Amino acid sequence: MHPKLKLFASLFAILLIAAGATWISLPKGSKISLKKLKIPYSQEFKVHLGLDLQGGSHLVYQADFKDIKAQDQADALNSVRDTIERRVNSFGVSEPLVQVTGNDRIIVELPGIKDINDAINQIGQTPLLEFKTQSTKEPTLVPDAKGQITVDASQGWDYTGLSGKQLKKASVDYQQGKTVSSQVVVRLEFDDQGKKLFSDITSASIGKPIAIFLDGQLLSAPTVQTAITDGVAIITGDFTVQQAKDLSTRLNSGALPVPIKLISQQNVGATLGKESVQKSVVAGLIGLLMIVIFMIVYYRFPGLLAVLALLIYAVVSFAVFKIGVSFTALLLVGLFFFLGLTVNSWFGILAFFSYILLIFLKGLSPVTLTLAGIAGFILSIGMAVDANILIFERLKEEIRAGKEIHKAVEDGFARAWLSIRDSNVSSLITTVILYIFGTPSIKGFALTLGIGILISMFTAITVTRTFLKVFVGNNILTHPWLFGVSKLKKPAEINS
Amino acid sequence: MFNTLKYTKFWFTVSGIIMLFGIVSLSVYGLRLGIDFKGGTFVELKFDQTVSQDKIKSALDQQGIKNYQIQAAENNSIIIKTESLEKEQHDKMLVDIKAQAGNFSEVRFDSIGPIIGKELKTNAIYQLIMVSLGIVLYIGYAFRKVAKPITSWRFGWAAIIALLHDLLFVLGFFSILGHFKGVEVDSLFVTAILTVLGFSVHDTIVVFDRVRENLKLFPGQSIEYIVNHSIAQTIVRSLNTSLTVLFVLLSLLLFGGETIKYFVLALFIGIIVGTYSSIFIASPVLVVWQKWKTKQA
Repeated sequence: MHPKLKLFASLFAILLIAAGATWISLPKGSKISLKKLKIPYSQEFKVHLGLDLQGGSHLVYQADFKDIKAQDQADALNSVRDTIERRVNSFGVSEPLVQVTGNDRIIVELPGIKDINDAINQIGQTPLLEFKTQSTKEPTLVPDAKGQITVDASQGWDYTGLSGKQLKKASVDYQQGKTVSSQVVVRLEFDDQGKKLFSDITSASIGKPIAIFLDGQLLSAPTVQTAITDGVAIITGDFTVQQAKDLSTRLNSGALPVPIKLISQQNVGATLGKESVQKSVVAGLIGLLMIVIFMIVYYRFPGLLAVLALLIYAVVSFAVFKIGVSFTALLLVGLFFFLGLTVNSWFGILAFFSYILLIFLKGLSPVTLTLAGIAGFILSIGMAVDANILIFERLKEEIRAGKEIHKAVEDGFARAWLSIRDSNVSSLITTVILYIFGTPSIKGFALTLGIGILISMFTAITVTRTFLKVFVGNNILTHPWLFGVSKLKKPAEINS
Repeated sequence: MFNTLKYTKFWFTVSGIIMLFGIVSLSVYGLRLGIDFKGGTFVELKFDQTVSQDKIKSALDQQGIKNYQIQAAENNSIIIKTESLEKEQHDKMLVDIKAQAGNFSEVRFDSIGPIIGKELKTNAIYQLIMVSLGIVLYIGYAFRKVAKPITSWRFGWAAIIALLHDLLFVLGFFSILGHFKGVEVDSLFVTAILTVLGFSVHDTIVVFDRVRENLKLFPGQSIEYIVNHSIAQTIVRSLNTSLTVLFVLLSLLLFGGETIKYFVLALFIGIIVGTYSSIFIASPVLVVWQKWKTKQA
């Protein structure tokens, strides 16, 4: 391609990217809809704020696996997750998150939840239903610190392995009672596994009681008359209709297969989050303004171009946060691959990195902005101009050495490249490690900083170079003063 | 041209003294760990009107809560830090405070169990080791083709010495802040430290990069001349880059709000020290080491 044509092609591409990114960044949610083309695809781009910014609750639960065999633990944990998820979905918060982490942990995130205490109660109260048979062991009676002996309700009973996990359905039913005409009961239906288990248990303990525990409390302990093989159990108790209804609803929404314990929680009120957002935006804008002034005063004309590049950087980054990492990584792989072929083969390695990023972050889109994440973004604004400063210092040296502006621009960029590459790769290593080992809030910081570094390499190098070449190449604005060089060295001074 | 290396002894002494202070403070006072690392409960209450801390104190005492701290924050807010509380304890505590000190809304409530705290602490140490290792390996790799007489690993080690310098400085500073001002160290602080390490290496690499280039350009010259020349060529860039980052950090420090204040402060100090160390520590170490090696040979 003719160099001039190539230059204008890249200028056009940059302006296109900038326009697209600005459109996505607009505060009044941008939307892509292909419905007019009869394709059922529509995507709205919104900023996703983390819990610390929009208010909400981050809960960590630990499952107690003491009654569960090692090979069943993963299944049990997943079913705890599903149960909690069903509970949480009834809270009516937008985009709750329930996820398994580690071997025995579940994280619950409830953005924008109003009554956190109520939510915790509801999750915690999810019933744990257990069937137990009379123990052959003598109950152990150990005096506590005050010398009192308390008999735990669960003592004297052995866990049978039958629990809410094998429950198919719970419903309210009426039964002919001995004293009253009819009695409200809760009817339980087991699945196939539970049916078999229940039949084994009942046939083994004819004439003996079976206890039904709910959340560690004894509900009832009927004595088995005959073996029950149809997989139906009846809980009698002094229920009112309402109590029986509540119980069956709770059982239906899922009995937890294992007990869970809340081991960590972080709650942020919505007002605090809102304040944090406002303060960060103000701080970011003031910081940006200071950089703009500094760059223009110190580097003059290239500084102005760097400021333009910086603005494009800010808009593109923000757009990336909105559309998400996975999608962006896909775009980056393509972009860097293209640049690797045309500009510098090092971009090929960046394409590879982006590809890795794509694999790692699949399904994580869009980027959730946390307070630390915003700080990372603002920090990256400061760092984004670094590549430009490196280039411009080189450029000045080349001009001072008496080179013609065109040549100086070419050489300045070429020579600054190694420093830019090495220093940014080291920063990227740091962010990747932070992302892998970090807590959610640190992940947010690492993610925005990392995205920032990658994007800034594009804006600071490609964008500024294209702008400079457009102006310099057409012999507009080539006076050394504009480049911050007041006087040219005499040839004798060079290399002194 | 300003001769940086002429004053090597002076810079080394200054840094040595500061690092000594840091080590002493760290071994005497240690770091004040936040609830992230040791487990605990953090509650922020925003009251409708100003409230006396004594009332809250008596409410906490009544509940039998020990080891608590009460701090006043802006806008009638009160921050209470205690050992890790169970949910029931927390609910009771709030009821009691409401009865004694008046109406409030709970704007923040963090409770971290001791198990999680321990995990986060281990994780933080892993991160530090991994980042340092990653950086040495990368520098070793990036500088593998460097012209004799300096081996590429020596660049890596010089950068690590500068990193240790920065690390000790910031840790020492926060150890003193922790002792006198009650400032706590949390996982955000670790993030700040790691970011500072990344930035400091970023700076050091730019100087070393010039050294690498100048070693090729002036093959006959002494190592002092080359390093000094490289520092002079890159010092404006180093200062300007740090300056732009400091602009945004200053802005965050002044306007960014209370929650991330110490996170930003750690970054702010770290970046100043990081810039200093890449000029006045990392490069001189390279020279001193090289001269020592030549003397040996």
